Amino acid sequence: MAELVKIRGRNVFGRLREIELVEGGAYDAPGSRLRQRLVVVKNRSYVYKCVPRADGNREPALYDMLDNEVRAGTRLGQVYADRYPPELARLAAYNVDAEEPFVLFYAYAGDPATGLATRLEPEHRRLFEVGLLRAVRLTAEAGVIHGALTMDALRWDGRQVQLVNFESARQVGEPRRSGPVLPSHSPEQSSGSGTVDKRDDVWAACLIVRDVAMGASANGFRRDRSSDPEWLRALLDPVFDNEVAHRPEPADLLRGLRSDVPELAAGDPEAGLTPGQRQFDRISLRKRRTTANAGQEPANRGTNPRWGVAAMVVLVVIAAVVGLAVMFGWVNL
Amino acid sequence: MSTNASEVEVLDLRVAPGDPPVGRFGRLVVLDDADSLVKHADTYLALVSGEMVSAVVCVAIGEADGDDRFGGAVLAIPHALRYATVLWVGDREGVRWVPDGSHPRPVEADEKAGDSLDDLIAALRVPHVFDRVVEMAEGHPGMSPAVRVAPIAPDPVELVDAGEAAVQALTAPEYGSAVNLGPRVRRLDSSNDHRGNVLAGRIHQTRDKAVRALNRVTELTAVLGTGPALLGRDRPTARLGEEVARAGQLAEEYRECLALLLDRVDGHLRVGTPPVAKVTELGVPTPRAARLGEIVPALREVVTERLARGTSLTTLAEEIRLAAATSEPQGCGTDLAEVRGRGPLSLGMPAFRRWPISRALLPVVAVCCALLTILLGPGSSGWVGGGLLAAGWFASGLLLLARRPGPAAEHGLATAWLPAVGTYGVAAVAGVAGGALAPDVVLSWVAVPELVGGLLAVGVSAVSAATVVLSWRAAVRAWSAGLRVADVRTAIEELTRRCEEAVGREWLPVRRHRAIAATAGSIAVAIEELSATLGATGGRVLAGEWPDPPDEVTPAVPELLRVVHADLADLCRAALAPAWQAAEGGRRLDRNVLAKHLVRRLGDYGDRVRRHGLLAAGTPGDRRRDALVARLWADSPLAAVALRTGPGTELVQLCRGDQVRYLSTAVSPGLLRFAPGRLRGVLERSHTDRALASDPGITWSDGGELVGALRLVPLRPESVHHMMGSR
Repeated sequence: MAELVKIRGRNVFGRLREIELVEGGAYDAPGSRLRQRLVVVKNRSYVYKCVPRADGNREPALYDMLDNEVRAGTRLGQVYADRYPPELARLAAYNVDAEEPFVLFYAYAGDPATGLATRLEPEHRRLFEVGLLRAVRLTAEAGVIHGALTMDALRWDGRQVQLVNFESARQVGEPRRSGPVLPSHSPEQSSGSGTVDKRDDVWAACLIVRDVAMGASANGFRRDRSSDPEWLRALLDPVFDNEVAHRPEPADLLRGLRSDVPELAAGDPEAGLTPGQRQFDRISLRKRRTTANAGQEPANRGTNPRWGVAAMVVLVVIAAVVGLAVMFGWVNL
Repeated sequence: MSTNASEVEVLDLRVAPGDPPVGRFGRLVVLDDADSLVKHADTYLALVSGEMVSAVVCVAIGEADGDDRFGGAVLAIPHALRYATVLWVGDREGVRWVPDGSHPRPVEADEKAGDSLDDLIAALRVPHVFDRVVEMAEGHPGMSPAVRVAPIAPDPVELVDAGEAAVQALTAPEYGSAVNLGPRVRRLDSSNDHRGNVLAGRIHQTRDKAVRALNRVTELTAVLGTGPALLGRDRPTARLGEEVARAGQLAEEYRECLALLLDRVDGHLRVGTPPVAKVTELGVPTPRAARLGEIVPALREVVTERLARGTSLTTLAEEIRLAAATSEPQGCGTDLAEVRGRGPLSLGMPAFRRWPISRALLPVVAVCCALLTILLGPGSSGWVGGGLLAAGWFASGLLLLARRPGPAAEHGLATAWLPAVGTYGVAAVAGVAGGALAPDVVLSWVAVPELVGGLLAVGVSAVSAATVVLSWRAAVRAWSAGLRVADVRTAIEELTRRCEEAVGREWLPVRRHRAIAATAGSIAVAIEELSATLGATGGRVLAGEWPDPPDEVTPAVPELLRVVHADLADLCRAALAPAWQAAEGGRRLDRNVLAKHLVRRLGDYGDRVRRHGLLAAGTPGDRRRDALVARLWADSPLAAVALRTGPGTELVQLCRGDQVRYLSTAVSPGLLRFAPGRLRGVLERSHTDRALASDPGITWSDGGELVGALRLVPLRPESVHHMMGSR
């Protein structure tokens, strides 16, 4: 029987807890540079991704990738909380302070979509396209950009798409970083200029949509889109022919595919932090009170200027009255 | 091993001298030791008497041993071979000799490298040569052959290399060479597509209503400038505004109906909802059924054509896959956006002139009235006549003001009274008064003769009437120019045409498009499977054994490469047959079915090439093979020498020098020259060797890869001893 291992990890709200896991075997999912394996926690499978010290020493960038996973996973977890969408890989726990920093994801759905473009049955193509754009919409609305969206980053279970591997993820509004240029990168991402836009993943998503719709690797043979099907050009031309600021959003593309675009059940990402903030406020208030009590005595000893003026006036009046009384002899001193 | 009746089978009794072989048929070459012929008499008897054996050529090698050499005979032939052809090979290497009594010479050292017996057997394996040998040997108990052959076949190593190169070419992607087959494939079986008016039912009725309303507006506008428009009970001015508004509303309803139709069509084409019934209820026909029986052969023709052009399988799969994507229903999103963008359609009611008789004409009114009063005056006749003209001006002005069409109805008399009195009335009365009170000087000045005065009075009245009529017509023209009936009509026609095109292009053939896309998709998968299979196994198809493929492929002879490439492409095309059958039946093919087909065909092809040669594997008229033969002929001077062999040419006689004495010099030797029939066509097109093509002494064989000459010299009768039975 496999050995029970105890580790400590934080949930998406940062709460630290102890996790008992059992090794579940090797795991070889494409598209990830982090070391990964399956583990079992309470009879449920999880994907365990980590950076062993040796790997980290050899390639320090792995720590950044793990950090990106944590930032994206916690953000998505906080935004979607109890209504977490199945289109996105879900972070269960993480610990970046441990000897071997790790992230723990709920087991991914389906199988890797690598090479699926030529194998998808026609009746599944639209399901895949819609699922992909929904996943991109969900991340974008949460302010997360995947950053390396390819078929390797997608899973497919025959009905649904799941987006995984957030190792290159960024958050909307951050400055874009110049790094390795992927074929799926948009011109802005390739140049590394400007700030991350919520439509940054749309370019890569549309490359995949094109591959799937054409049933082939459209990026190799078919860079020229002039012979693409009419509906595909109508859908993708606004993406590929415009700068990021004028590109359609995933919701627009979903409408172009005649798919429903339901309101997102996104919660306030800060809501999960409310208990902590309240506690912080309570502590702050208590500190203020303590400080106030400590400074009360010196305040009482001090003189109110207004009272001083009044006292002066009264004294002057009394002095004047006494002086007049003495002068006119009303008081006989 | 099974053999074809059109082939020549070789049976070597030297290595398999057992029981008489059974199941032999057709032409048979039997190799035997000369001293074993009598011993194998039963075997020969079985072969010669076999119903299915058409002819036997026995090649006796060596000399009969001492017991059989009666009276100095070199060959003892059993009775069973009395009517068979017996070729005696006294020595495998032979001597150079001309049967003219000259002395034989030993063969050159380089000629010994090859075994002339093998050349003889190779020549006898050509059916036409076999038959001619049988024919020439008839009546002779035994013949001594002399042979000279030159292969006209690709080098075996080059052949294997060509196989590797062809497989590489067929399975490697060819960037930039792919052809966009989409438009062509999408139009398969489209000759019966309906074009033109396809809108009916509800949508057609809506259009009719809109067009009729516009026509009504046009009709009313056309009569607006006429008298009945002003005076009749059913005046157009009374309802023109209402008709214009209604026409605009109906045009917009029609546009909305078109947008609804296109939205439903687009939805059904793209995502399958709404169902067909919800689309057809708007007035478009049900999509026509797909005719797989027409589509599949047409697509097959496209694939065959591309393969014949040398397209690699990988590229072809890519092309067909793209064609499948392009053939899928595309929806009509662009048309829908256009129809939506043209809305709302409306027909605006332009404002009619506030003053049909312009106020600038009021002085004319006054002058006319004054002139008539003066011309008909003085006295009561003057002001009565002027008064009548004034009344006419006023009434006309009042009528035109009242008949002006408004947004809902005409303005009416009630609203026209006051403006008419204030303008036309006042001007006319002022004119009459002015005329009646004109000074005597003026009256004496205008005192014209009575006839002229009368004519002038009529003229003034006519000018007044004409001014009224022209003013109204000018107002109507100005109003009509502002009415955009033509624009709305054009919009309706354009939208209708666009919608009809979309329905005709996407909706009616939707089932055909889906069938084409599904068929093309399945064929693309099938071609990919063949490509993978060929890449994995096909490279070794022409190798004798199945070695690991070489790391580097040496460049093959272009003509050879083209032949092998075309052959492999043909095999792939043939291996696709189950995929076409499945497509025609609307079935999906299990994976690896095609791979098995292809592997089997590749195996058969490899066997055939190794057995009969590459050139024999083709069909007559195969230009690639003709080109290869021309190349091989040009590269093989020995072949030309062999074909030009004459009766006095020195050849390698298959006997020793001391055995020449067994050959007859009394009978002329027979000379047989032979070459593949395919070479004849090449020679006919040659400038230098054309005479050979028409040489009647050459036997042209259907197959074979040998060019050569065979001379048969009869044995002396005393050199052959016939035995009546086996020992």
